[in-house]
Amino acid sequence: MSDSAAQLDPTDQPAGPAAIIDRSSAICVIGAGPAGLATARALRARGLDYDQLERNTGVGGLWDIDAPGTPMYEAAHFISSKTLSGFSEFPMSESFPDYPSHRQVLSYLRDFAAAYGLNESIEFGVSVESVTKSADGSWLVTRSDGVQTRYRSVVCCSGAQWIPNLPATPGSFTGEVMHSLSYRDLDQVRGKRVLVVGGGNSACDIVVDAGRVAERAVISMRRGYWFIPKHIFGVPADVFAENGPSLPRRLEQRVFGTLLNLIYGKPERLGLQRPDHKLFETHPVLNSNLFLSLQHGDVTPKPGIQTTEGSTVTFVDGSSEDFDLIIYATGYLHSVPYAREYFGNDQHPDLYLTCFSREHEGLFGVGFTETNSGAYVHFDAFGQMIANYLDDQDHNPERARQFAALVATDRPDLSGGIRFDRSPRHKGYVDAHALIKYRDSIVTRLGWQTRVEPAPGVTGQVPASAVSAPASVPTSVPTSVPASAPDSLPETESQTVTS
Amino acid sequence: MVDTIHAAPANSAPERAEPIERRRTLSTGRVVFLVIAAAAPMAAMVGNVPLGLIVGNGAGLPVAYLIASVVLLCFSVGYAAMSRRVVNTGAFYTYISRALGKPAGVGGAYVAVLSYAGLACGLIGAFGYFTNIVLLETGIDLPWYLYSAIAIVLVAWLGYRSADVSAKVLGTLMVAEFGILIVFDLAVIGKHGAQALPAVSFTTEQTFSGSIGIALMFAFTSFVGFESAALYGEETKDPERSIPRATYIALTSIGVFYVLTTWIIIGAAGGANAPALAKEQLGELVFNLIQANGGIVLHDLAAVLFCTSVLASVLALHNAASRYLFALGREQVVPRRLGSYHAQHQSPHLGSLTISALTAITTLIMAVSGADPYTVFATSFVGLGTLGIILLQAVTALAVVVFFWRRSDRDLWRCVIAPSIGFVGLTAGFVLAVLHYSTLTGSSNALVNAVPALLLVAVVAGVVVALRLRRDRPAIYAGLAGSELRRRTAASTEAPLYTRRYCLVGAGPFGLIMARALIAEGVPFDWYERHTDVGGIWDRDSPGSPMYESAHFISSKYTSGFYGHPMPADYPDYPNWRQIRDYIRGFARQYGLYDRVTLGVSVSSAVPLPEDRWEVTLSTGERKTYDGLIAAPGVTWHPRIPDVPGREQFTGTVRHSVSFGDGSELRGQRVLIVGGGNSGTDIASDAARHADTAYFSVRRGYRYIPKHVFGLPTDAVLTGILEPPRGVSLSGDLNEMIDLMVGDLTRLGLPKPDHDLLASHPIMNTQVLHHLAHGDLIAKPDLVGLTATAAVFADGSEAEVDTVLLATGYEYQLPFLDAGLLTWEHGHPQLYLNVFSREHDSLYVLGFIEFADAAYRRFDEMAQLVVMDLRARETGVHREQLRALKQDDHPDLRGGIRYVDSPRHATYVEARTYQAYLASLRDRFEWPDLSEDSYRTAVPESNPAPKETADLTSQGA
Repeated sequence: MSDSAAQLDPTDQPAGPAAIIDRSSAICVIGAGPAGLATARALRARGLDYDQLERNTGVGGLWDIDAPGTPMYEAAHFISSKTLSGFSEFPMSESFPDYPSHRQVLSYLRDFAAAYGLNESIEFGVSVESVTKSADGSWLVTRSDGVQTRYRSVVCCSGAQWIPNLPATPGSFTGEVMHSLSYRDLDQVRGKRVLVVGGGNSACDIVVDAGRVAERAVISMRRGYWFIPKHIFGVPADVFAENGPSLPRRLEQRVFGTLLNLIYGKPERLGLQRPDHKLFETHPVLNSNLFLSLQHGDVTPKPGIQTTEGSTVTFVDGSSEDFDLIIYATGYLHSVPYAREYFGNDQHPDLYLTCFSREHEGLFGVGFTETNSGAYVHFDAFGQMIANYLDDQDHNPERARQFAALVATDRPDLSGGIRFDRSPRHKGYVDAHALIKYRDSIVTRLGWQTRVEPAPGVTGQVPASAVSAPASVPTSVPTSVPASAPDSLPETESQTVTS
Repeated sequence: MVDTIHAAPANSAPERAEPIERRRTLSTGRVVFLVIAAAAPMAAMVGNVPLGLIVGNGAGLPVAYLIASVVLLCFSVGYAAMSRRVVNTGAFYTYISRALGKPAGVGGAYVAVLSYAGLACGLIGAFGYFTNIVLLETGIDLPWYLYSAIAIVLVAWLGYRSADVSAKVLGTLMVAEFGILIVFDLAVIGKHGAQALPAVSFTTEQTFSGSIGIALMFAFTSFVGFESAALYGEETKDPERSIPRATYIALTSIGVFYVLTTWIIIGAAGGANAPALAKEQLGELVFNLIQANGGIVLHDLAAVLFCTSVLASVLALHNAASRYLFALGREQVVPRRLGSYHAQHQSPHLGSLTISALTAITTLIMAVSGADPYTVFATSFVGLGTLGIILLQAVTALAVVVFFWRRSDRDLWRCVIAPSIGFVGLTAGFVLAVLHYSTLTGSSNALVNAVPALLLVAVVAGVVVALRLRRDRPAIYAGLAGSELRRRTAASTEAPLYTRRYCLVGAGPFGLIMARALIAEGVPFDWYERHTDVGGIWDRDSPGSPMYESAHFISSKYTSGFYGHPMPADYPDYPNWRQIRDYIRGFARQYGLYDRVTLGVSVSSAVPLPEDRWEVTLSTGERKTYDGLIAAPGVTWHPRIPDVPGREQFTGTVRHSVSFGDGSELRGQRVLIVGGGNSGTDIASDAARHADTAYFSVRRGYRYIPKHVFGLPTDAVLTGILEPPRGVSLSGDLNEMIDLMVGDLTRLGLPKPDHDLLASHPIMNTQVLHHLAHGDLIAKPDLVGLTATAAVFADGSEAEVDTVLLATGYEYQLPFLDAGLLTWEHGHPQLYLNVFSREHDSLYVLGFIEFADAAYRRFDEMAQLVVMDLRARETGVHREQLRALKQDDHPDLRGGIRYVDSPRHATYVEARTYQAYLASLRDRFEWPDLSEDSYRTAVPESNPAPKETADLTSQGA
């Protein structure tokens, strides 16, 4: 949740030591998007003292299309179905469609926050400047308004889709260039000759929009991907898969891949490239509309860009075409700018089970799980684990030590037998089934309690006003301890990533 | 020994005009070869002759063979004549259905299944018996049923995989069989001299000794299989010539061979004493004779060949029976499951399993009851089977006579006399065999002798099933025994020099198609189009065009092109309106139509004059008289706007889809789309993406047909133009397949489909379902009224809306014609075949038709109908018949389907039925069928095509 331009500028650092608020028995949750909310619910359920900081004026993270810097666009819908996408004990409304729109997801998140009384502990309109580790192991959180607070630990839930991965356009393209981050709605492409670069979920959604209203809509993909339709035999694809027989992974890849090719046809027939990898080895693209648009000639497929000159783009197959606009739907960097020193500077942070900092005790990241299933179930589980762990630090130090040892030394294989693609996009990618299985085994071994209570007095969808959870409002206690100088960020921003 | 129905999946194909190039590789010689092989001569001689001697007419047996040969030759003359005019993919079943009605056809098909199954059972018994005999000599003595059991398992396995013994193997066997018997024949002649051919065989006394009926039956049995010739027809290069020829050659050679060989066998067995010897030696008779006359080596060879020959026959019969079951399962006159085929082997595996089970049970009963495998088991079942086949052939012969009876192109010998002889001969054989059936079985058991009654049961059952189907499920009944007439490539008469001049109105697709046909025929005509360019609705610039930005064709580029002008290969599966517009204009350029059309001039009125002439007033004020008026006014120009109660108090906008251009018009609004047709679903999808809130109101439960199945355009797969992926079967019910693909619509808030797939104009759209599943579109029931700000629905719910967009279709109008000139019902003029005015002989109205098929080819066939009538008026040939038809012919073009009761379906025709009806008219009036080449020679290339056109055509698929 950081304004990428502002907080990286060293001149913006507070000029001198100010009074540091001591909340060193409390936890700081940065961000109130889905991951932040799930974490907060878990902490609150254990009675752990925490503060939650949110840059925006409301909860919901990127799902709030009005949030500054959000990558959200009007055509966005969940890519997992309502049936399998909700937080535990808080299912999505039956009245939702199979795949809720971004507005419905936002309302769901807001209802969730209200049902569990999470808003009370959130300070809105506050972004975090930096997070630094003190010598005593506590964490100093510096806000953009200069306030510094010391916490026992920090859970970074600040999102993974805010920093665009924008490749440089080869050659000398003179038309407009933008990243999908800035794409909101089809009026931006109406009447233009549009080239969308990328083969992910956003790329497909955007080019389908363009196929409707643009003068010309072309999608450029460097390689072949698998496209999973959102419905199989009229049933949401994830529900279909869930209800199917449980097969060994290798077999499932074959069976499901063959089934897709059979029922929906091979991508090659539509001019797309043949996938150069097996199904599930890359992040699934759930999109039925791209095929429809290609079949109707509304969208034209092209391979990767070779070079550009003026408004002309030449593709690696030698074909070339003029465009007014290139939209790079090339994904996001998962770096955590305000704590880069601790999360590393790779495209994707390396965390134990995708959540626990291996080297920095007391630092957690929720929302960085790159996997092939609905995300909220993972947010829930990690929130629970963090809560259990922090609770153990107070009440069961031996067990906490056991877990800490695991974090430091355990390096499980979470690929579930899938040889995930080697592209940067899939660094740290884990298989959801393997992750869940392994996570459950650890939770069971440690005897952690992870049951989630339903929101008080409510089942299912909760009206916003229904609940207020009994949690004390944390009070800020000023301390006399002088703040140590914040660790300076080792790098200046260099976010341009070469393609 | 086969009369197979092709197990090919494409029986639902409404368009077989240009199927994937089938392998037409067989030559006449090869067909002869296959037919003879299928009759399995060794099995026929060794197996049948002893029985014929014993229970037939004794030493007179060769006469029976002679009679059978002649009768069958006559039969096949008629059969071939019919296969010249009717494409044969369903053997007897198709012909009987076509000529004698579907109930008779189904009855016949039941008889066929029973007969082939009976023959397969009987031969299994024979196989066990003869294998036992053959192996006895090597000292192995096992019970016959053991060998039969092995054969059952083997045949069941091969049949399950639909493996026919390859033609090569069959051919080799056949040559060897012939060879051995010929060597035997020569050896006997060499040894016995004139005695080898005893004159006694042809004496009246011998001929009518015993039962000639039973003898005939065995003779006919020996020929079972020759009828497969016609089935190879669709695989030969020139079926109309090569199939009859192959049949005659094969029949004659088998016939001569059979007569000679039976005669020589009798000679070798001692002439008049032959029956006595046969009684003693039974099945060993011929083997013993071979050994005695040809030596042990020849005997051993014959023995082995005989067993393989029987086994091959069993397999062929088994496959014939299971394919019949399969075909009938597809037609749903037997349990539908039998009509599914194995995804991998593409075999009618369930039909095969059924026949295997039947064979196994029969054999078990025979083995347990201790029946003699040869004289009881084989005889009674082969008897039953043969009786059935004779019956079928007799009825088919009758069907041929009936089919040609009312046709002008019948040949007296081929279409009447020969099939009549066949019919009489076969019927006589059948009756005699039934009367003497107890002689055949040698049993006094009434139950055994009543077996032929099973045939009657089969016939009755088939007829009853068909009649019940006609009553309860007319759509399925309509699809029964679909057959096509064979294409005709040239007309019987030359185009005359026309003196009459016609007026053509409209230059949309149908107008263009009509113009090309008129030019090709050399008909003088003037042609007016009110817009400044051709293309009709597909030109969005044409004032009042209903076209909108997101419109695409709803049939694929594979099925949709004009004859002789395929859509460019680089077009997407479903082209958009711009591509269609350009394609249409390319067509107009290629055929020089721009040179003929008068653009920017409309017809203000047309008034009939005496003698079928017309006075036409143009928008220029000019008046002209013509000998006929051909109107192609277009059908989607005049919106049908339903009364919506409360419309006057509604403060928002109510508009019709005719004015809809693109989604941005709905930006920021709350929109209700009314109507679930193809425009309705397109516009609802636009609204889903553009409007603030979008509602979609449908009156009834429609089926939404995916534009693609298996990633391929649905129509192209269903018509067989594109093959579904390997391993996929398209068997079973179309409704079921679509429902499976699309899933449960009620999940999306839509009503459950309330009609059969074919009973309503298909909605080719699943995009709308996508939007419903994503909540961008909200399904609502029928709109019943409007309040000041909201729409009220049938379920009582209301929705606040700013705009109500009525996608409620269009009305037919002929603005330049006085409405009283035609009879209008439910907003539709009553036209013969949706083309001809019944009141005004020289008035033709084009386009007032709807069907579930790609339009442009059907339009072309309708244009041919017009040209046919113009030529008749010019030449006088067929003139009166056509006039009479226009007035009195009221064919049911709905194919028995009860179309949903909505105005749009008032002119709805079932595409296949309609096509078939037009084909039969063309056939009757000896008018050529259209093909891709029809216009290639007919229309001279006009001035060199402009560049754009060249582009379009050079990329033709």
